[in-house]
Amino acid sequence: MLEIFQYEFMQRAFLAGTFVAVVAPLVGLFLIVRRYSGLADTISHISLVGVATSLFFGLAPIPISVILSTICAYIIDKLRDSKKVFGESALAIFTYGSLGLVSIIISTGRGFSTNLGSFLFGSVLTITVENLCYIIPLCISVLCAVIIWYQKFFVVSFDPELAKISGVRVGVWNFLLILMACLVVSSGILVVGGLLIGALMIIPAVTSLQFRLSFRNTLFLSSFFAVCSLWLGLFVSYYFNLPSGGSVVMINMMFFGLSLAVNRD
Amino acid sequence: MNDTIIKVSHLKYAYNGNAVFDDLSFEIQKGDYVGLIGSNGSGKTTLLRLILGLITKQKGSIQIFGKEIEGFQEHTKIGYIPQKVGSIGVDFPATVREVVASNYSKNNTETLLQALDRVFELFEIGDLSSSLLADLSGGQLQRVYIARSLINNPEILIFDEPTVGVDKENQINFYQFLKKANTEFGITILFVTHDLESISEQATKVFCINQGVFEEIGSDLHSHSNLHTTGYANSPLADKIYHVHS
Repeated sequence: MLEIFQYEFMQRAFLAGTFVAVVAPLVGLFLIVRRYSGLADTISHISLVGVATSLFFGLAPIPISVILSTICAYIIDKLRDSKKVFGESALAIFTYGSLGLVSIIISTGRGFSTNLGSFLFGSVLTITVENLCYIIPLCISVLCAVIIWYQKFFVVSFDPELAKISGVRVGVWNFLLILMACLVVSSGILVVGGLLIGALMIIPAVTSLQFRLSFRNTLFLSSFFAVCSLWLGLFVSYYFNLPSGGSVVMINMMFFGLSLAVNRD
Repeated sequence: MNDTIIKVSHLKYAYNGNAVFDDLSFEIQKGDYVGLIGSNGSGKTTLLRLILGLITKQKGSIQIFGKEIEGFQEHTKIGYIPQKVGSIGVDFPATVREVVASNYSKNNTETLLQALDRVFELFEIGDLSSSLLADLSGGQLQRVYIARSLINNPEILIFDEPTVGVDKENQINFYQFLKKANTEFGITILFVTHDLESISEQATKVFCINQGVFEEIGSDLHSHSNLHTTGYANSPLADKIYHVHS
């Protein structure tokens, strides 16, 4: 057995990371084709508020993060629909608002900033067995939702108006997609960090889009790239003593660069 | 048996305080081939959107297959092809097969494969099934969208300016298909268009809409004010135009 797999924390990191990497780009691709990839970043910032709050009160971070991000993402979507603010502005407002709130919570907290740092950029050391009990079921739920309701998500993403005419309840499926994004972000926040989980949702999906495949195969390929980058990233992180989140993202960037080079025409 | 497919009664709709329709009533019967014409901004697309349930009426009644639009659930009976099909979804990373299949309903009596084979053969797009939408021409995209709308064997096809952005040859093919769909398959057709030449050859009824007025048949149509204001009085359409006094 490789040395890296002899440590339980690394085993947990690979296990949690693989589950997150499989589902993150699935949701990410649906957000991209809806021109809504910024939502991933905003949700991750909101999740950080949830994490900071839960650390402050000594609660489990993932459930608090899921609840808070879902509520806020729902409000963002309603704001966007109401046309009272531009879609991108709604995302920016919640991103900056979340960062402001996190900074206040940190300043009033009692020295948990070191721990919060792992949530910002990811740290495999923080993935406990208890965390796995949240991460794995959440990721399986997202995967099942994508498989079972693939056609609904496809139709709503392709053209919401045509979907509505076909009798699809667009608002319901929009909300489910947002909920899935919240679940993915909250699950991945420990693995690659709150500031970088959006990258695991978006970059593998954009990379796979360069290969001009069917939508279904693009989904498969994006998960493949995400899992490969996760594994390579964790290896690099372990052997070169680098942060796990940053390593995973940089491997993703490398794949993206290669995909551009391979598909130059 | 009731053959009324669409029944609009005393419809009222205003946008930003401006009345688009004040008291609009008309019916479309099974087997009708209806062209809806009118000047820009006359409310043609708004009327289609009301019928399709995309926007909500303020007063009056819209019945589809005998049911009020608010409670209408038999969506597979309606096939819809939107405006500018040549540009819709062109950057969406999906194949022709995925897009056509995405409209398949579990209520369809055919299997998905049977339904796909039928529409692919009908529109000769089987060779394109693995192509991305981005790689198709405007005419090919139009055929894909019509195939998509026909996957569930609808009873009415609704088109909104279906030939915009499509070359002449594909327009001819398109109108030939419409005629076939109407006469051979018995599909009721309602379409908004500016293409007076084709509509005059094909449609069995033409509704002219202008400033919220929509009128019932008469033999003295050439003298009707609505036709003059919309410029259709001397067109070959005139004897097919229905007028309904609002």
